[in-house]
This record gives sequence, structure tokens and C-alpha cells, in this order.
Amino acid sequence: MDAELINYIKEKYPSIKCAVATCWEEGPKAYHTTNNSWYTLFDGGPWNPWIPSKQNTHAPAANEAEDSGIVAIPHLSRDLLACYDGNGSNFGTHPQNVLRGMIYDTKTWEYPYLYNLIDQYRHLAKYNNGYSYNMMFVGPGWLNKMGRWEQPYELLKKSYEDGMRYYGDLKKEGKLRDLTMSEFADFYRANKTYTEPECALWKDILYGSKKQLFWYVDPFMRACVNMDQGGAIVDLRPYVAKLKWEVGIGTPHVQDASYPFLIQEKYRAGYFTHYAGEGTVRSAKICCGAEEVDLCLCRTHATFSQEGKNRILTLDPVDIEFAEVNVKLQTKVIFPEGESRILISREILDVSDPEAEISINEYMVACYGTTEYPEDMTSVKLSVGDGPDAVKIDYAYKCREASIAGAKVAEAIIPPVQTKVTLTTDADDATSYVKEGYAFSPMFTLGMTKKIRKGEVIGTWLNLEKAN
Amino acid sequence: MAQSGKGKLNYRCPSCFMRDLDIDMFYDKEKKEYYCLRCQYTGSEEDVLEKNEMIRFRYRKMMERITDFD
Repeated sequence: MDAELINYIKEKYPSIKCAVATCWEEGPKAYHTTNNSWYTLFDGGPWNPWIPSKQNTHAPAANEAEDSGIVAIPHLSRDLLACYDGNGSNFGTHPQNVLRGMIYDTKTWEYPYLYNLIDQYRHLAKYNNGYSYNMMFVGPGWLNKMGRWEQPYELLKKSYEDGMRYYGDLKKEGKLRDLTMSEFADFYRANKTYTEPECALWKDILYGSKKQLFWYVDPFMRACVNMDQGGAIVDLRPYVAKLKWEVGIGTPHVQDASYPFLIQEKYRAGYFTHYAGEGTVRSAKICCGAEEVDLCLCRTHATFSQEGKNRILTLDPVDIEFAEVNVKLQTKVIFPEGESRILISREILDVSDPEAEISINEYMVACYGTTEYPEDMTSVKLSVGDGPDAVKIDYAYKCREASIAGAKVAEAIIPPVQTKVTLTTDADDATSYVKEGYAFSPMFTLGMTKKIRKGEVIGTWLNLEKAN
Repeated sequence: MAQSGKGKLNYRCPSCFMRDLDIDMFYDKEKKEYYCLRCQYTGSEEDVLEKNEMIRFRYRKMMERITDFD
């Protein structure tokens, strides 16, 4: 449902207070899975309920003036790692999703993954002030007598009954409260504030890796942090722009209801690219002489904490081994509630040779789009530094660069998504830079480099603003 | 040669399934085989069921009940 539809329904039928508005990450990946025959393109939204803004369904309302009047719920509760990596329709609390993905034993018809998925959703209470949410949504077509996905009706029925039985058992144990959609909308409004984020530190429960992702959503952004890539931000949606994005026949986006990204590691590559060029990611490189190590190659784990209005992701320290010197470094990713910005801090815990010249290059490679294909970047405006000394580059695919020693800001304005993104630092001795891309690397880079010493803590802000 | 039809269940192409494509196959009664319209896979019911299970090589924790989510 686009915002225009929600606004129309709310105006015409004011008693409606809850709606199934989207399906999490059901975009180009789901489209491909159906041989490009299922026109559901809405990546980029929240995975758990939210109050949509009047301007854009995906982007939560920041205040009463933006409140669309309904509580939105996504269709299904989906695996926040498996659905991002692959086909969304195989990894949700729709029991037949689990059958479709063949995540069951063919002989015993058992599927512990379904219960693990429900339980991991319950576990999200730890990151959301004690609140967690889960839903199952099964249409009659999924219980048809002809069977589906190589399996007979009897297994379809069993999976539905087992799923409901598990909810029932949890309810009897006092671990679950079942609500109608309207009841849930009332509960949600009574227990959530507009700016309170939804957080999910999600672990792999299917593939046997140790991979963790952290998802964050509030009225100003949706972000994904990947601990398998040293805490790099691998998906970023600038909700702060609250893009007016009508969908349907007669609009500029007939089928495309996704909220645009600035970073998306699957559609615009991430750290790894073929041959040349760069993919979208927010990471850092540690440099020693001619050697350079990207933190994307430092696999680690994270713990979550909340201090006041800050949601803090503290990563386990990582070791960077150069030919002659070793560096131990710890990353924290901090989301201050309601501020539309992310702080990434790096603490240099140890350097094996105090005399070695080590530097850090904090960077963000980005672009914009909703699909796998690049968009026209010629309207993008890059600049580095403030005031009259700022150096500007109007994007023309010429692979130009600009840097200023002592500058504290690198900026990009991206008119098609009405977004300004900046990297800023408080350090006086950093060099800020911007890089333009070229035809076969149609990205831009914002960054800053700085020498580092043992014991030092370096903070870099990623700031998102609406730019008309 | 008569037209093909669906089999008794919607059997998906194992080759396409392995690349995240859900494509129902059709059944050729004369050759007694399922075949994929999108790729070149053909096989018996037994072969389809066996090959589709290949997707499970990814699911190393598929049958494990997990209680620790930290």
C-alpha cells in the first residue's frame, strides 16, 4: 500500500486503524524467484510493525503531524538474515514458506526452524524495551488439497496446525499474548513513541555460520550493520527524505514501491567487486605504508546495549596484521534516537610498534536506486570542506577526486532521492575527501583519513538530511 | 505428440531451485519425464525429488532446535 492509498482509506473509512501494508524485502529478489512474474516490489521497509508517515508508507512517522492514522504490519515475520541474502518466500513464519524452502525432514515432517524463527522474534524483546512481535498469515490457497512444493496437502495442513499449536503452547505458558489487528494497533500506540527505534541483533539460525546482522529502523533511516564484515553498514535507506513515491498505473512508479537505498550490498555490490570499481558500503581501511586492510575482512560479533537515547552496538575487537606491525581495534556503532545520524567510533586498543605510522580511512561508497540497475548519477553534487574553501564536484562520471586537509565534512546531495548525506568528524587533523565514479563504477565516495595512535578513539558521523 | 500437463504435484525444477528460481515443471506423458520450460533439466519424479533435496546442503542447522539467540 502506498501512502496515497493509506491516506485515502483513512479519510474514507476513519475507523480503520491497522493494515498489512508491505512484505519485508519482497523486492527484486522475490521477483526473480518467480521468474519475473510476481509484481511485488517493495524492498526497504521495516520488518516489524510501525506507524507509516503520511508521505511514504515505508518511512515511519516522526510525529503526530506525519502520522497516517494506522499501524502498519508487514505480511509475515521473516528471517532477517536468510531473506536478505536470498529468496524471501522461503524463510518466514508462514509455515508453508518453510515447506517451500524445503527446510524440513522429508521422512519425519519435522521443521524445528519454524519454531527457531518464532523464538528469535520473541528474543527481539531484549533490544526493544521488552516488546516483541510475531505473526502468521496463511491464505486458503496455501492449504489447497492439491498439495504444494512437492508435498501433499497433509503436510501443508500439519505445518499450519503445528505452527498454531506452538503459539497456543506459548500462550498457555504466559509467554505470548494474542491480539486482533485492531487490538494490536491500540497496544502499539499505547506502548511506543514515534521516535523509538526498532532494533534487531539477528543471528544465523539456519546455515550454521556465526554471522550476525543488526537492523535498525526509525523515522529517519533504516540501516543494516554486518558483523561478518567488521561492522560495515551494508544497507541504508534515508527515510529522513520521506519521499513522495506514488505507486500504480498513472504514476512514475507503476510497480516499484521500494524505498530507495544509498547502500545495498546485493544490488550494488559491497566490499567485493569483480575486476575493478567499488561497491556500496560504509566501512574503514587501516593503512600502514603501502599496506591496506579493509575492516570488511575482519569477521566479528557484537553485543547490544542501550544508554539513555543511544542504541549501541559494541563489536568484539579485531586484529589487523601488517608485515611489520599489528593493530588491535574495537568498533562501536551508535544510533542516537531521533537524530538522523550514526556515530561509528574506533578505539585503537593496541599497536605493536608505537613508532609505526598507521592511519585510518573512514569511507562510504554510495549511490541511489531501488533495483539492481544503476541510475543516472549526473544530478549528484559532491563537496568537501565548508564555506568559501569548499571544493565541489558536479557528478559527470569523470573519476575526479578532491580532498582538503583539516576539513571536517564530506558531502553528497542526491536530488532524485531528496537526500543530503555527509560524513563528519570532530578531529582537527583529518583530511576529508570526495570521489566521483565513472561509467563502470557509478558510485561516489565520501571519506576522511587520519593518523592513529594507541589509545585514541576516532569518531565519524554519518548524517542524513532531507534536501529538496 | 500430445500436449504436456502438470504432474500430480507442483514439482519444481531442481536446477532452477538451486539458483533461487521457483519454476513448476510440466510432465511429458510419452517420455514419462518432467521438464523445465526455462532451462534444460529433464527427469523422472524420483530424480526431481532427489535433486530438490540438494538445496538442503546449505541448511546445516535445519534440524537443530536453537535456544540461544545471543
